[in-house]
Amino acid sequence: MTEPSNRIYHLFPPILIILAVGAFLLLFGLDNRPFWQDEAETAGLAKNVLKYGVPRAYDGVNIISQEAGKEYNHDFIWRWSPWLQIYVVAAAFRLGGLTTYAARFPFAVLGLACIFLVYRLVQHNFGNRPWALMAAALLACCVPFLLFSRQCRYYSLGAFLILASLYAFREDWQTKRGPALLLYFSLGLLFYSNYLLFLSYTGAFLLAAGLLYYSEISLARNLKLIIVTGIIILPGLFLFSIQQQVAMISLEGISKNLGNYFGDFFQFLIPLPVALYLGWRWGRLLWRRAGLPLESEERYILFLSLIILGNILLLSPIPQCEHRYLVHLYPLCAIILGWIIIKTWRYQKFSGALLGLLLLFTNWLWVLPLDWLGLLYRPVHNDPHMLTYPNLPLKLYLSELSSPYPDVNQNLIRFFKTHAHPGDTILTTYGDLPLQFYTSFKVVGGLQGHIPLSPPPDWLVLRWYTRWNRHYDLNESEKLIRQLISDPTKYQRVVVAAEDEIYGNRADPYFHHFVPRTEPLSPIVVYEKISPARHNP
Amino acid sequence: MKKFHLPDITRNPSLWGRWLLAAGLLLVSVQGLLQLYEVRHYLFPCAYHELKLKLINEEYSRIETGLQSLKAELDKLQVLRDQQERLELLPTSRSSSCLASPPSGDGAGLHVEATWQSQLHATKKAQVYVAQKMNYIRVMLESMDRSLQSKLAGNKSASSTTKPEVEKILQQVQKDRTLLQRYHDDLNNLSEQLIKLEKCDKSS
Repeated sequence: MTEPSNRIYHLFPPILIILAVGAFLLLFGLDNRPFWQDEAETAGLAKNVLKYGVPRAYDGVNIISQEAGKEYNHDFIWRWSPWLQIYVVAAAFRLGGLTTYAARFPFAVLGLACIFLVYRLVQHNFGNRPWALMAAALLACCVPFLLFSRQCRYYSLGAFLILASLYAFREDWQTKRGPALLLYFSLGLLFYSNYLLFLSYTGAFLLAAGLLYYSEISLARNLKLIIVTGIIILPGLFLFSIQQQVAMISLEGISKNLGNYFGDFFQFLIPLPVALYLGWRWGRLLWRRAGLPLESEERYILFLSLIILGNILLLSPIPQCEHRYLVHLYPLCAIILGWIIIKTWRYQKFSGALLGLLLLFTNWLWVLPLDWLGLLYRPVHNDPHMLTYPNLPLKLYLSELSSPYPDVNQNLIRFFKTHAHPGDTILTTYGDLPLQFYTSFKVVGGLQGHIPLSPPPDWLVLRWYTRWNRHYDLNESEKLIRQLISDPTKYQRVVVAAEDEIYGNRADPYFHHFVPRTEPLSPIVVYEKISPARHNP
Repeated sequence: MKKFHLPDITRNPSLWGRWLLAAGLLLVSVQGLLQLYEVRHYLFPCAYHELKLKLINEEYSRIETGLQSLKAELDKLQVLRDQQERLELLPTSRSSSCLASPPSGDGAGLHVEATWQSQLHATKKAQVYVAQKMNYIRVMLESMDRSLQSKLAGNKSASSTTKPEVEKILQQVQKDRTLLQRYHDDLNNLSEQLIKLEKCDKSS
């Protein structure tokens, strides 16, 4: 007769409970806040795909650009970044309509798939259910990962493809066709999600696999992998302006970028004490010439750790050092931390339980050791209710889900829908792309570069956060607005009763606000053109 | 009565590891709890502002370093400008206030020009670094000033311990704003020098 606990276990498998929690956290209130600039870029291009069949930066009214026009060619076809995420959103728009929820939905579902894949990867390959469940739970409760997965961007797509490649690698891809095809296509599609992810991950993955699983890999299959993946990515090498971006690679900033990436890594992905423990453990084995761990679970943890290390090293020459380039590593870190928790539980139950609670529900083990060592990076503009302070991340996250947040882009959209007239032109220093997507006005400025202005715009938005271009010159929109408002007879100042945040719904932990600031920094300031026609009834 | 025996750690060193691990995790737990904003605000109402002022002071030292770096980059730019002048052969009828670029095909001139561009880039980067930090601090201090003023004005029945603390913080905020204005003036002066050097290059 089945024990009652086993019956409950079979009726309510823990993984289903974790997936249900993950589904709620990922899908609930997906459209609470509008797109911020980068999301609106993807959504705007996807909207144009529905009209033109290809991602076109110009729709006859507005231009989509954040690199002063470098992203497109003479016929406005988008060349700067790969198209997979754009077509995913276009398909979502086709099925669900031109809504925020529809655009973010596929990526949130992919985030949920990552939680399941993390469980499956561990359970299927090692038969260690507690480890598998802990890893899945850690990822489901990982607030930065949840935030990025809820974005209309490639982040969860990249993470999903990487997990798929790891899954295929552990299957017998050397002899079976199915896993081999999964490996080729997941790496190939990774290129079409984001080049940096592809380059940084694939290089690290191949090196780590060669180091630790050399006896399992045949040269012939490896060559096939490289050739087939190369064939898949070949069209993209001609379609996209990769060479323009390669020209931006700089060796000067490598040490600074490494510092930033490792800082982010210990602050949000793997706590420094855990990383030091793993380093000490494996360093001791090498020192004693005991060799690398032969036990399969630990060997796999070392494999994932080497992928992460190699990934960060390969990212370091890229000048733009952003936390989003580490998002695909969160699932790997969840697997590593899950293993650590289980090992700690076996070592001492009290410590295992406490460690599990700390890692699931707080960010203290990440933030506090760095703070004590004076290594914590906490931008001066950060609020105490952000992830750079010791907090209960899930509590903050649920606060945001349950209460409407006064998003800067939401407030600007609402303002212009209420006060602007059809045919008006808006010039803004930033946030042009969300305004383009959600309103019918002509919106110029932002980071577009040159702004043809005739006639002068009806509205000006001067954001408090000043922006410079890649040459460290003030952006055209900044210069132009300052010039236009220098004459007080042309424009009148209107203060909107809402805070002017830097970005809006950006997922980056250094910029994401879950609840309104303790002390708002600066209100939104808009300038309206003074003309008799506008002001006479 | 049953006696409670503590484990003999000296005979069982592995117990050290377990105790240390548990102690470390407990330390993190307690510290984390005490540093939660709600707990800290309850125990120390002015702690948040004091922390902000401490962070602003740290930023000020970075701004000072940034201004020094900017000055150093400007000096290098000036040296390059002087080198360009020496390479240039000017007819006497031409004005010598802004000199032309070295003629193309002249190796030394091209090298100086390339170095000039690279140095100009570095100087602008240093300028933007300082300007961006000052922009943040300005907005933050204005916000703190507003918030503390309204706290003082609206909280006349505040406890005798809180009001002096708020006034003390407000005084510090106002001092910081004065210091920021000084940095702002320094940055403006250096920016004007940069604009002059750039104009000379563009007009040549």
